[in-house]
Amino acid sequence: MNHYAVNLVLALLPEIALLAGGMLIVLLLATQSTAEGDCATTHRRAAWAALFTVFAAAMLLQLGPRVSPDELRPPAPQSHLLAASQPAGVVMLGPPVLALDGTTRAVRWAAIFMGVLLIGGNFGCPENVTSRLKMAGRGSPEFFMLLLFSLAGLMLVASANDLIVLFLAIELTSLPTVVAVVLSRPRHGAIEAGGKYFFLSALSVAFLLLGLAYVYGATGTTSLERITSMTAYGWAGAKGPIGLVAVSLVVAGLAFNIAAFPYHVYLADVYQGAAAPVSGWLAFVAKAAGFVALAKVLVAVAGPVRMFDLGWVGEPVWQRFIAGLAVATMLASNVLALRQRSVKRMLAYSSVAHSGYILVALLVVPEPGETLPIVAMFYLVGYGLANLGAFLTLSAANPDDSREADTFDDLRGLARRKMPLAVAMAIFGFSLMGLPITVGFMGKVFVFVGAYRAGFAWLVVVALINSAIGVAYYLRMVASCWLDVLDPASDDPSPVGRGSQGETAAPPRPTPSLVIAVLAVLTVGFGLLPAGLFRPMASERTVREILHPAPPPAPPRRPPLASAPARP
Amino acid sequence: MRAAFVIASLESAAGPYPSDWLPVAMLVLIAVVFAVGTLALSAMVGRSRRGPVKDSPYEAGVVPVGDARRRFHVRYYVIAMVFLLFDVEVVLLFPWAVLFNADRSGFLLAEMFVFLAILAVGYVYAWRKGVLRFD
Amino acid sequence: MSDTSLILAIPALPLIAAALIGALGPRVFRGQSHWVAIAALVGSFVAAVTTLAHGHAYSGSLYTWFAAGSLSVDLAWRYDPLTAIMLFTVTLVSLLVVIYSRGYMRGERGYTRFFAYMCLFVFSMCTLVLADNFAVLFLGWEGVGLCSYLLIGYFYERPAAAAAAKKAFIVTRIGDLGLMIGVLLIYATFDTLSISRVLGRVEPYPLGLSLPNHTLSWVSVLLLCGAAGKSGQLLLHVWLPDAMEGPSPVSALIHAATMVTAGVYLVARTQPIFHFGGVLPVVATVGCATAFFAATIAVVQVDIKRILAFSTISQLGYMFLGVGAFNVNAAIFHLFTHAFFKALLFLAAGAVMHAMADVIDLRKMGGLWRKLPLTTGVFLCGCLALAGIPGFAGYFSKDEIIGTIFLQSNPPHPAWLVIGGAAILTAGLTAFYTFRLFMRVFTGPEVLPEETHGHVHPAGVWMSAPMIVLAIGSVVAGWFGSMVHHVLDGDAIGPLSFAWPRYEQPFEVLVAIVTTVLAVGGALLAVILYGPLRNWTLNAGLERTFIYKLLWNKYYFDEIYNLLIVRPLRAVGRLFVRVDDDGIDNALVGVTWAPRGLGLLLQRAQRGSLGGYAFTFVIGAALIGAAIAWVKW
Repeated sequence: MNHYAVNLVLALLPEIALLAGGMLIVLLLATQSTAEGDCATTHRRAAWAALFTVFAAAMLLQLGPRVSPDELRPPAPQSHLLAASQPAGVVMLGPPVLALDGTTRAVRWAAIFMGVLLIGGNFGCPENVTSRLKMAGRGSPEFFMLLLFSLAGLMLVASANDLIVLFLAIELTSLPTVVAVVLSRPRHGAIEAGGKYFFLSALSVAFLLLGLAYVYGATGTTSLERITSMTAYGWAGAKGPIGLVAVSLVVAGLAFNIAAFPYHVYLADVYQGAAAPVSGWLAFVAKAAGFVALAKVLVAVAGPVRMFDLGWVGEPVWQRFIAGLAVATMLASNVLALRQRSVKRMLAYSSVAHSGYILVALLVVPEPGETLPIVAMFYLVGYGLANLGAFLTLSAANPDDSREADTFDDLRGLARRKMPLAVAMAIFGFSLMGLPITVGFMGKVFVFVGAYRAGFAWLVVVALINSAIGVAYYLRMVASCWLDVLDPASDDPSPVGRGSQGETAAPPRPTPSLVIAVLAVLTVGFGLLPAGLFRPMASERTVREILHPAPPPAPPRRPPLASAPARP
Repeated sequence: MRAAFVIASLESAAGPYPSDWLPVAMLVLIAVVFAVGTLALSAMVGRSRRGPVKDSPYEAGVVPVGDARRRFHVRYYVIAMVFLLFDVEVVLLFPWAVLFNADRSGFLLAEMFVFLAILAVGYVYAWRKGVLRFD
Repeated sequence: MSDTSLILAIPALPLIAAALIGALGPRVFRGQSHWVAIAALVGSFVAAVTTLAHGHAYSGSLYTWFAAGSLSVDLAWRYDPLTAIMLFTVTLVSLLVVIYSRGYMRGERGYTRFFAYMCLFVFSMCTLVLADNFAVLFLGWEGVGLCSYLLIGYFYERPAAAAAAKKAFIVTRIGDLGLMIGVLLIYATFDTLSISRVLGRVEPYPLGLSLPNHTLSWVSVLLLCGAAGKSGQLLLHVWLPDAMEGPSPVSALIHAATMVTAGVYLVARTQPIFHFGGVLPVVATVGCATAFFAATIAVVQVDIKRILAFSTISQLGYMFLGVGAFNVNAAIFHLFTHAFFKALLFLAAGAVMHAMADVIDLRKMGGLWRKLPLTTGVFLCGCLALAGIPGFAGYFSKDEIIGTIFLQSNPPHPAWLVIGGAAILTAGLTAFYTFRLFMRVFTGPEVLPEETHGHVHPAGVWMSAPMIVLAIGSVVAGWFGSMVHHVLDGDAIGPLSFAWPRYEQPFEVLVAIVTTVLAVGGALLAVILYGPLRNWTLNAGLERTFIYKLLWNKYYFDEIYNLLIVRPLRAVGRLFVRVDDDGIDNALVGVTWAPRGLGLLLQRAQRGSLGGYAFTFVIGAALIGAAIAWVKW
């Protein structure tokens, strides 16, 4: 039985590394008392420690021992019922609390990948920062430890195979984000945003917990594996009243994480109040955890079921509902985003719209060994890149250097003041729009093609219409940067001088130029070579399946077209 | 191994739960009855004696001084919160102690030490941040 | 130099120029940015001419961009007669327009930006016509749309320009949506996005032997949506007149000669699909209706550039009509000649604006020939070509299209007769409004708008030279009809895999005579009405008639769209914002049917906005439950 414990630890080495790294940073911060001490040094040390931790986790993930699923089964408690029929010498094994499948692999790599970029986005700390400013959160090194905890939580969500583990992992993912939002002071509204976020997240967690309790009540087990096999053997609970209540509550609870309609109302306030790296963090980590958990629970309680190696058994009955939720989410958020004056609020509602597209991705038929289709993870990472980039650019695009850019007017003339930032903003905007040669476009192609093949052509059309609406507001964001560009060649000689004047004032936080540049390059790079993003996240077979498909076995041609002889 | 486990699943699949709205309705009923019932019960059972002393905030006899809506030092809240956190977390020791058995002593002991170590780190952090200092 | 590198140089050079100007323009090139653009476009033009003269049709692929499932997208190009003619036209006109811009845009703010956008546009347009893959074609399609948006809004400090840019983008976007869905449907039907392969699957059928195929019909209708949006055909034409807010060279290049013909190109390229979908008559009808209606509107407008814009819409209608009447060659020939004379007219209108301190209202000017003799001369050439006066460019190409209509069936089907009649009538209208414009601006007593303060800027050599070249083109382009047809028939560079049926280029004597008489008659009528009878009071009475008001307001399309589409959308948006931003309070006020007591109770509980959110959450859970129960999963 101790093998079981050892195996558990071995399987979770990357997560443990992240948590240990987080604890280390806590201790590091504890050695610095508030009164004295150089904040910048602490901040830098914490950032390096976090970066090192993430790399260590990556190494463990790559080189660590492989644990087979059966090795993770705990010995079952003695069952009096089965004891009689139990042959001597056979040890009964219970369902494992962890399931390390393709989705786990994808999520773990995605978490590490985005983790590095998120740490980079918060790397800089202003020099000469006073302890008062530090109290005000400008150089809060706590960000890094919270991020590490949150990333570990996301990874655990992906490996959870038990309702209790799943619930705890979701909490581990989302609680640090609440603290991080509050730490975004002295931004206007950070406290208010944090407060709202905390209360609403508590409320939605109550829904989730009640829903999971109903699932347990209906099935008598917390093991997702057992629930799955019950579904496979025709358990009708998911279609009955208890199942209905259970799933409604679980979906309602998780809809908060993914900000699906009508649980999107809080997001704009939170994004507006949070610092740029925190917004990027929320948009990727919280969302990914929500989608993975949603896929896990829905597949378990309602199928389709993957029976050993026989392939998919049964229809995923929840598809129609998810399709409807996707439509409502996309429509509501796009209409709202069109009317925003604040870029951050606009990005928040657009984030909801992207949740709608990822809900579409849930309908893609997954490859073997996946719960959440790999294309959904691809879309999430692609969206995470562009979104983080847009937020970081916003934070650096301050017109008067005393605050971050917020309204569309604040962005005016960015191309004149800081040309590279405007170019980066255009790239991120195009990716969010889904214009070609960006990762956003590739994500949409994979998701929409997948959904189309799964038989949801109408949904693809709706999603396309929504992406078309989306262009309008993203274009406004991109165009704002390029308005008011004065040309040095024109008669007005002043603009260059004006631009350099603006840069003389000390920025509150150093521009994460390197990270913005990396994000822009990745956004275009993965748009040109999507395999680069797929390769680490998916198995060789899946990558081949997606990127180099065998030509389909001559589909039945339409009669009048097929019967004619080919022209020589 | 797998077969045995599948059988175990089948067993619970045919569980005794009626597949209609009864359990749902029962839960809602219990929730309402519990919420309303406790209040109603105490109102009905308890005798209501009113007077200046009974209506004061602390029935223990401490006489409130000054206005209740005055500002407290922020450290009061911080300390209260830290107390609450550690208080609740330490509660885990009780179920752990109940489940502790010699079969898996090493594993369980290690688990609890990890848990306590995490608590200790948090405690050190709070301590060094000056949270416990009240001056 | 090999064929491949020569062909790829055509789009690559402008792209490099755009990148260079964009990156180094504000710091290094500054006022000399035009040299970079001119050098690149000269290179492109030379490459286009060389390939046209010596090349041969072929297709190739740069690399596989991505593959998803059975969907594989190659960066593939296809060089064939149609592409050859398009590339020649695009590079020639863009080169001339860029040279003209050196004179016209001098001293404007954002001089370098202008040339960067122009080069980007040429790149996108060349990509569009070279693409051998619907995805790549779509890329170019969106690229030209983006450049159009940027250039219409070039004078962004003018609210009208910003609004026009947005309108253009949104209206064409509606068409693009159709195109996008059409492309998806193509993929669904043929399992490939390669244009060559799709046409290869469709084309083997001899004309007229197969019945309309429903899928192909849908594809064609959707593609037509995209084409109509881009080419300003009826119902989606509202953006083009407003697009005239952009600088005149932009109007000349993008909104007259090249980008707006992308729709014609798309239909011509996929003509077999349209044919087997049985949608060609629809194309012809749309084209004819557009040609006629736009021409009637142009008769009463007073803004020089808007008259020309409606004229462009009308001429594009002719091109659609040509494709719809099974004569793609004639349509492309008209596209070719139209590029010359319409670009010329816009450039000359730009020269007038330049001279008149940006005034373009023709009521405020007159008798300009004394001040601007050169501009008057080239404008007259353009007018003669546009009006279809025999001997000038427009005459030949337009006559071919109209002649084709009457060859559709024998005896002609009544519908085709109606279309043909409308087309002939439109020719008369065209001549009338063209010469109305010319007479009012250039002849009669000299009137200068107040804004000029009596001082007229003549066009410099940078502006004059391209106009003269285009004027010569407008006069002689029609004489090269046989050469263009020679290329289009695949005799010069050979067809790639598919050639349209050859028509004996029709010359119906009767039709030609009627058209000529109407065109000359229309022109003469305008000359008389606005020459000797300039002060005749007829106009004053006309302005009160219903027809005049209808035409003046462009058939009220903008107003109808505003009422039917824009306002309801705004209202929905406002409703959503209200529900969301003000929390549940206002929503409850709105829900008057709810029992009042319950409403009050809820309102008391949900006073703060956090409470409102929480309430939304609870309602949301109920909604989700109801939805699940309703759809039974």
